[in-house]
Amino acid sequence: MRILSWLIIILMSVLLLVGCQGRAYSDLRENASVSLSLPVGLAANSVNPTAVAEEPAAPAPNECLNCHADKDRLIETAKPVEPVAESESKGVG
Amino acid sequence: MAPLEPWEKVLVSAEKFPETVHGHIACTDCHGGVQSAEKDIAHQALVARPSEGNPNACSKCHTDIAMVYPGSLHATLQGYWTVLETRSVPADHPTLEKMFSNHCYRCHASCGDCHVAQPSSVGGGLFEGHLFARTPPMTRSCTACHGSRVGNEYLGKNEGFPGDVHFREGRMNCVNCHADEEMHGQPSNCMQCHKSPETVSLPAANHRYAGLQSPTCESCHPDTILGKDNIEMHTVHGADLSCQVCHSITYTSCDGCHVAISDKSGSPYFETQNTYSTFLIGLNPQRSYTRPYKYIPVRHIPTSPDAFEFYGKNLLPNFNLLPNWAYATPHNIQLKTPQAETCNSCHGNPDLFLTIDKVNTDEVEANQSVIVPLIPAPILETLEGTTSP
Repeated sequence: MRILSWLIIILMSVLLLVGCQGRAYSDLRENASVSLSLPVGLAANSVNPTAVAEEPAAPAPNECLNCHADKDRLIETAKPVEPVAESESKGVG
Repeated sequence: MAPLEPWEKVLVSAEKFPETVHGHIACTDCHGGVQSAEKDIAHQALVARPSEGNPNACSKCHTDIAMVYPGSLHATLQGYWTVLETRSVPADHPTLEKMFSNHCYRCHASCGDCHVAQPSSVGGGLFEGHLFARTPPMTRSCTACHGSRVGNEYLGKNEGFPGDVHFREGRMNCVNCHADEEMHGQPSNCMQCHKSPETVSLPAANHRYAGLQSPTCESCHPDTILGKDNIEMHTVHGADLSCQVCHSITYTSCDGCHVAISDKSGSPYFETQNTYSTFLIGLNPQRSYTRPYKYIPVRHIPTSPDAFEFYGKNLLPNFNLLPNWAYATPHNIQLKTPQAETCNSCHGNPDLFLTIDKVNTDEVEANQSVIVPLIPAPILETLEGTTSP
């Protein structure tokens, strides 16, 4: 009887360990497939395939162009123009 | 050409530029700096002229041009140094380098000075909202620097003298003759066909008239040298006269240029004593395989023995080693010219030739190689009748 109890305990432990191992492996595989096959922004779709696709992330603003295409802003931020002395050159250069 | 307003110089077209090839490159890839709405932050480590230096932002993609351009005269200004070194002594080179830096270096052109912005010598500023121009716009780029002689002659801005026939009749731009290979530092006559890597090993020119003549008139007018155009003048004189001897008209000469730094403003300036119109034929001082001509037009260039006196005494002790009536290629070509009207329009006409009486006494020694000792004799009338076209 005592031997039978030990056998049952060992059997239950083995079943428990095998079960846990299976979940961990499938979790890993699922995570790996998400991170490798989908852009970060679309990862949620793998959880809920029926959800409406999100808009692609907007490109980062081009601050250089935003300013350099804006005449008023260029005038506003320009360094004060220092008066340039008239050229003292004479004749054809 | 009116200078651009400060904002105009740096205005980028938000509609057009992003659609261009260069518009797909991040601004900071070429210009450095950082993405920020704050100007002071955005401009940290900014590279305003990314085409300066070697390598530079352009050479990442335009590797073929980047291989040769550092040796081009537009980049090196070596033509000036070839002349300065001949006329000076090594001990004075540091002083001349200082002078050169103050007065001459503004003529240096990087890629951007021709292809995206006006040259810095005329104040700079983007052409058209940072759109790159494969062909530089003639008046905002080429003649912005080459204006006072070449530009005025070519465009007909010298009062009383027509512009070059290639402009008047053909509306030709500078680059129609001066092809990109030449502008980038290699002879276009060679490079248009020989595009292999060994071609770019041709040594860089040290003067505008050094090495192969490129461009040549014959490239577009081959019949003139093949005897197929039935013009006897070309057969008789083809090897003796540069094309400009018969086909150019009066052009500009200058005297007595001096440079200095202003006491008032601290800015460099120059003063040219005289500018006047000439057409004079001299001897070719450097006859070569591709420039075999005996006669060429000569232009009085403004340099003088004391041109740099502000920086020191006698900085050009070997001034007389080179003529200051210099080999010229006037850019005012005409089909018909007064000197080519008949044989005796030129033969026996002392007004056309640089004879010793037309040279200042103190410049005779420098110009021995170009002074015509004896002008060509007149052609007998009966003979002229048989030789005129």
